[in-house]
Amino acid sequence: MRVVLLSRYPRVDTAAWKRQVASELHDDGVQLTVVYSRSSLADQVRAGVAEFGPNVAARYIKARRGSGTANAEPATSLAAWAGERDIEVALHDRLGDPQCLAALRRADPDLVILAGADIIPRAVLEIPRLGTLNAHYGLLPRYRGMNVTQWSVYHDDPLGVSVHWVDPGIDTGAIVGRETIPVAAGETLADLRPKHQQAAARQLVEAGRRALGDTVDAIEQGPEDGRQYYRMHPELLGAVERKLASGAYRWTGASCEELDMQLGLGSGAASAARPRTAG
Amino acid sequence: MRATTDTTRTSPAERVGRVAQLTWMTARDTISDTVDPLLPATYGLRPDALERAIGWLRQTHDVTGRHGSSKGFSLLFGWYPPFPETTGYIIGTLLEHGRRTGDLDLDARAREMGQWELEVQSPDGGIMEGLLDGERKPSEAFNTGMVMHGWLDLHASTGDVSYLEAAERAGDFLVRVQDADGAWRGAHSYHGLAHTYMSRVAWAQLRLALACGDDAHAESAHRHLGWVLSMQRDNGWFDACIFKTGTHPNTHAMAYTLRGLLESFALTHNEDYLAAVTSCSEVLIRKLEVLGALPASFDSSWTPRANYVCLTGLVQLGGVWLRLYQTTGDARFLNAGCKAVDLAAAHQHTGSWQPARGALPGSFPIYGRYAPLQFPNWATKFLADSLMLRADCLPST
Repeated sequence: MRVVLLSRYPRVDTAAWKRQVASELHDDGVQLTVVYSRSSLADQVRAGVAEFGPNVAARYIKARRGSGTANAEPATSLAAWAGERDIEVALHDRLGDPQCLAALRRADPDLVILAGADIIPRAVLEIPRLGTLNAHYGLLPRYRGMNVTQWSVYHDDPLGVSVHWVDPGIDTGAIVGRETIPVAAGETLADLRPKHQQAAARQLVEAGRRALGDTVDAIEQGPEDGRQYYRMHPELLGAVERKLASGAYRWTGASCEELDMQLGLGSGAASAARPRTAG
Repeated sequence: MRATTDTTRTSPAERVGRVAQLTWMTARDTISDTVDPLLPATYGLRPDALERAIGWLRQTHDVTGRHGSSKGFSLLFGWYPPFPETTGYIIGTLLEHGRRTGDLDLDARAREMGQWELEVQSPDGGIMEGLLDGERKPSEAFNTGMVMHGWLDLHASTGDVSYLEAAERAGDFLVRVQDADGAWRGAHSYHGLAHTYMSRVAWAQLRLALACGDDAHAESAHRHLGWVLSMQRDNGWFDACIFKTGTHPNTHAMAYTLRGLLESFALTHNEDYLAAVTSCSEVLIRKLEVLGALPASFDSSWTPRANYVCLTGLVQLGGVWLRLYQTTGDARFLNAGCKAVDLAAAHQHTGSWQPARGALPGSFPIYGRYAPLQFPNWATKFLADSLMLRADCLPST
């Protein structure tokens, strides 16, 4: 079985969850290829400045150092990890470029897994035999788009990760798996991020295995089943942080299955929903 | 709004000051326009943004000898004469801020403006087009509706029936000159065209109907709003949302259209009005988020058709989305509203140069095609309105 991991910005692609996904699939005997977009230095600098402004240099050094302390082991990028294992790594500027599309077709993947990639052109979606999987840091179908962890806290809804088939819409493809994230009192958004990453890795590996084994099940979602959210305004973000810090965030709502019933969705997906256990 | 070339007289020293400021602002905006897209968007407000805006609106009143609010300040021509249309809806802004702060000076100014509008009202009950620069011009439906808002605000605030009677005469004029399909066009419409932004006129008619308890003005409003809805396409786009033929609709006209529909929903609970606002707003919000800025105009496929921002339209849309949040409770509109208001307010003039102190330019860069090199009074009026709404929606600020 052949799987392509799609990512971007290879110089700073050091998140451990990506290596975990790659490692587990590699250990399963899957033939991996890692394809990067936005791989030029100029692209990475531009994206870094657009994201972090003048702090980009400090962020870069921190990302390369791992923990950010002087004595820490340098963080390993997915590209470096793959290189050490003779896994093919292809570097491209844009996912839709002819050379990139040609490289993807040469890889002839059964499955594509998004590991923090750009918006995927339709031409890329048509390449893998089984489809493309993505991990979304929110519980679909209700929360689509950006900053959905923050928006879930804002609305006192459960936090979680959803893995879904990618279609041309934004987070609108059929849901393959979900996992809720327990929140302890006093945890911050920064504390919750690694929890989401670990859940994403677990769910992607699990969904990937099921997809490759042809045992995947999925819940279709309709456009009206959820809302698309955008990056949160700093003042709302501050309110969310304060809500978490004070323990005022109360997920008193329903489980994923109950939410699905409210939305009239099926319950056929291998959902790993659990009730909130702390906080 | 549209540009005019009527100006007040200014001294040579003032002209030198304008040239210096024009040079500085043009250079500053050119650099900012180049660099800003490369940096992360920043949001937030100066704590004195609202007071500065209100201070500048006072100035627009002072420079006319307290006979209406000047149309605004031009870096080329200086202060403009008073503008009946926008003076009409500035009254409500001053009254509202006065109500919140207890500032009696604002109440006095609002009453003076309302009295001036009574003097300006034409014998047919309408309000003339353009500026008050000596020449009497035909009455125009949109301008009439905007002044009705001011009179209705004053009537609600003071109980003085002369304002309500003036609004009734104005409303009767609107009924008389309205076409059978609900649109206003021809001799009493800007460039003779039917415009969807007249939904704000329908909103004024609904307010009048509630104040007077009569059906004719409400029927006029619903007939017009039905026509506005008929102009909306499935993708949220409004046809006829233009000031003149041969142009692309700008965000200022879109915001006018949406606000009129939204406030009409608030008064009537007609869900069709709300749905029209929501569908168009969701497209505009997506454009703002994806592009990182909101271009001044679009075509009917929502392709941007301008390389500048209409700050007036942006801050108005911020207000529309904040009202939409208040109406629906959907926090996505709160988010978008705050962002739009903050992005626009970042261009408020914060320097000490008196003619522009606290004012919002028409465009960014300041030489953008909407009110180029100008600080229109309605831009700052909508800035003040949206800042007050933002404070209501985010009380912690």
